Amino acid sequence: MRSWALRIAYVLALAAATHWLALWLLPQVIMHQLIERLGQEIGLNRPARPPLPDHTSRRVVMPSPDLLYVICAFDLAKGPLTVEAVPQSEAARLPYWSVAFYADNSDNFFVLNDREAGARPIRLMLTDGPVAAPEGARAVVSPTRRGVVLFRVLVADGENREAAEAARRGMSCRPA
Amino acid sequence: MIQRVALWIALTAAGLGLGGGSAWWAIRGPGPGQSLALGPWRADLLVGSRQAGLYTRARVAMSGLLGLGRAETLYFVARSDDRGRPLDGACAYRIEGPAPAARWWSLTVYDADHFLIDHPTRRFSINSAQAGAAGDLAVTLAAEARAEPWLPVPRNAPFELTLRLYNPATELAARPEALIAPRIRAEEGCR
Repeated sequence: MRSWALRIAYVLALAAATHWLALWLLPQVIMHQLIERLGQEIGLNRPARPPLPDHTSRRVVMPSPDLLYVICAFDLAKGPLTVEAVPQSEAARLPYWSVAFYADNSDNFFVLNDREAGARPIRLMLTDGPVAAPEGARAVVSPTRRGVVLFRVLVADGENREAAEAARRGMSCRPA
Repeated sequence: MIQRVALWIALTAAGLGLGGGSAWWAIRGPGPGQSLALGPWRADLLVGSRQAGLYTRARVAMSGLLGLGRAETLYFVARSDDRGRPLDGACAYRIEGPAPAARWWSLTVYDADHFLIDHPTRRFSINSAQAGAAGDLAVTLAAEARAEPWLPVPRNAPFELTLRLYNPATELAARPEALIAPRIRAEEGCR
């Protein structure tokens, strides 16, 4: 009787540990795969500007067909990353854009949108520890060494597609 | 001795299977961490947040990677109609609701794998810029072309809807349960 209680306890303990481990690992594995794939296809710390999403867009689940993206997988091992959005004349007509930073466990640890940025060009310095940002830049500390930067530019109705494309060209990431 | 080893191997397999299976169920089904239900619409209010728990992070990784936090965007997902029947392209649906209190909204059709559907019209979504003067959400979903506004769904296949509310009003971001969520009504004659 006692040995069966022990066996059942063993199964339940192993099940609980497996359950927890699977849930903990999943986002990290999926983010790791995304960063690796972007690193191989585009390179780390470099922006990719994919076309407006359609049924062939299968890199990340639930792509929004209303948004032009700029995606950048980062690795801060060799130093900070400069992230820039340069509002151009067309950008004033954009209904929405934002830039978001994601840690390697998928947490969105920073976001800035066009309303918050105002009409000024934005320059962010992403680091893995506190540093003094150069003049005109804002420092953002990443909780993890690797992660993803994602710009979103709204293409509301097709008419602002050109302005959105132009604004997207001014959105970039590069080693500082 | 061999019997004992076989027993412990079986017990280990049972533990791993139970743990892995329950994790899969929690991610794919209505498991813990899904914090808001408005009719058929579900929203996880901690998407992208550092406060997100194990379940939210795992679910987001599978079906909403790189989502934004609720102050920036609210995401509502529906996989069934108002009567709880799974959304399926064998049926047509009418979606209606008042304009959400957000700077911009969009409603997108995804296949069961969470990707955009392959349709010759290349219509995947409707957004607030394409809505009527009042900004209300009103669209028919059907595999065959309908009167505008219309969005195609996959023929005879399950699908899901995502309603994105970008820059929700402060009150709505604080109390997403106050949203008057769009109705999802299957048309008569649906199988």
